[in-house]
Amino acid sequence: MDERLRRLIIRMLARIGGAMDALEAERITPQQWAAQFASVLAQGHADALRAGGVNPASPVGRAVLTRTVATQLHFLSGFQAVIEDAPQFERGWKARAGMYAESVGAPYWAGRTKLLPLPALPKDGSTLCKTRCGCAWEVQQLEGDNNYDCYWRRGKRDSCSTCIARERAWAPLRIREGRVI
Amino acid sequence: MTDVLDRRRSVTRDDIQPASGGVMHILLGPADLAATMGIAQQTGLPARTMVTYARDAVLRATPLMDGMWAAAVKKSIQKQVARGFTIEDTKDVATRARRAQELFELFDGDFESGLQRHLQDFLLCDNGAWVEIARATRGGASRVEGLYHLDSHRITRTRDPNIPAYYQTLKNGYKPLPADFVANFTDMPSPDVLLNGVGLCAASVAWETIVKMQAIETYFREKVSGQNNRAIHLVSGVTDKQLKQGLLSADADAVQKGFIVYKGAVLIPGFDTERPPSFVTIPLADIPDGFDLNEERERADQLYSHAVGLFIGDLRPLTGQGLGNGQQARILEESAEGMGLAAWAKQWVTFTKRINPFSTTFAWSSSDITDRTKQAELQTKQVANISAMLASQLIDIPQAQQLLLDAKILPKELAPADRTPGGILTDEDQPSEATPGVLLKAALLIEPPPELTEAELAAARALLDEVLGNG
Repeated sequence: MDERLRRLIIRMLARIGGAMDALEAERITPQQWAAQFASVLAQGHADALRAGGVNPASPVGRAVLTRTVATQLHFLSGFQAVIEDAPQFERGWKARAGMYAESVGAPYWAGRTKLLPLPALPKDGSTLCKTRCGCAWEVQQLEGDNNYDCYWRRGKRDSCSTCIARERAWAPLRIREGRVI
Repeated sequence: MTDVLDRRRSVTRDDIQPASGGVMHILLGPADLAATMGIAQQTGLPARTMVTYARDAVLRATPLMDGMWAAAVKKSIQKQVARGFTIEDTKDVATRARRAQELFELFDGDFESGLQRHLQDFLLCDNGAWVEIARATRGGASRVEGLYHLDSHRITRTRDPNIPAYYQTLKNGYKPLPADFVANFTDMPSPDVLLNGVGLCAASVAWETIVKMQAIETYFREKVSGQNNRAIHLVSGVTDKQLKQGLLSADADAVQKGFIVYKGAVLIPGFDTERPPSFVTIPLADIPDGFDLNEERERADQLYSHAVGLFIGDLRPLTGQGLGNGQQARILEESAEGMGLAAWAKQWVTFTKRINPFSTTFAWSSSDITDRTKQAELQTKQVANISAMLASQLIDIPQAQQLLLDAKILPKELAPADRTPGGILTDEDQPSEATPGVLLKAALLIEPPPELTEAELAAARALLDEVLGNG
């Protein structure tokens, strides 16, 4: 895994772990936990986009982040419903929360691939392995204006069937004059 | 589920006896004693009391007594097991639906065999069927981790609503079953407070008929197999020695000829020529005058079908009895819908509400052809209604598609994103990782992204404003 992305995820795990500990100890309510969790997500996604090389405060950066953060909020509402319905804290929730930490991979790869019009990004939740995805985009710039060959590279031996199919189909994915062909 | 009733203002408040330190049987007086001791005991069935073991031991063995009764019980259970079920979550939380599905799929090991054990207790025990609700902790509201069938013979009822029963382990220990950890399914629980809710199961209802049919079938079996002494023939003019020789000769002759069932006629050689032979017959076992075997069998089948809640046509063909035409058969079938296991099925759905999250619902599916026909008729009407709404421009095509999707007429795969919340899993659905549908999506390279609402996007913008500042 990319070293910068790994550090970002570790930082997110620490923040999210704090929120989960507070929830487990019943220092905060599920509603307070959800608000705190959402704030951690927004901060983490902004940091990730910046680490990928795109200013998160720029209009295009905000547009990307709005989408990635809203997607995580969508899943978070389901998680919150489960927590609110459960009579007690469940150990499995910490692992589930960890998957949100890994979602920072999507804005990170959006930045790393220079916001190219790619159909999907690693860890964006569009694969069967969701945010556990260990794949990466390898982008080769070609001659001419906005011409790229993009390769979906698998980083794990236990890739899911979506990732295996992508590796075959997007080898390469061709972008010519800024458009996927 | 502890006693939800505050009985302090009820005359029944003294009927409650908190259970502590073991099982205690208190018999304060006769419980329908006239009926149970006076009549049922004549047929060998023990009395119906709050201690059900002796009676249920006999009732549970009834399928071994009469083949037709066994077939009726078996068919009734198989019909229920074959129905399957669906789990629906109105909030579309897949985890909840999947957890609920796993809970029922793993009922006492696996759903099909667990349910068969459970339903046998329901149909064949006055004590009813019992399910243990295993929870994550001792708290009565904690997460349900498993459902287990409990042998009804090992359950003793109490009069304490907080601990309604005790379970006798194989090591002869007694385990209390608090109300939040157990569920009971009893057919026709007695209104008699001294019976502690003991019911009147299908086998109890059919008992006398089972005994009678067993006797009739035994009589005919022995008659056709030639193994009984049907009469005493008084023959004079024949010595005792001659008679014994004749019987031995007949047995040996039958064995020699390879006869197993039919003994044939007894030949007695050598008459006493001084005395003229005479012949008198005393019948020992014979059918009464006017006895009609078919009529008895038909009556038994009707009683069996009523007891186990089966349509009579499931037990015997209706043709040739004036009930063979389709309309009458259908009327009889519909009248059977509310009987027997229909009540149990409702009890089970109520039970699932105790253990499922509020938004998750359990429902029985139907494999019955009549139900499917009705479903098809309903869908035809729904399609006609939606088409009319579309034609009159009350709705547009996406809205019509959504309505068809909600009515489960249009498959999800053929419709655009479902905008109405709600997820359904059936007992035959696999976890999403293994479904062919998911593999198909994998082949398409991209899992469909979630449909984001404007509220979610606005929340994301607000959060980013906090993190990045208003820019």
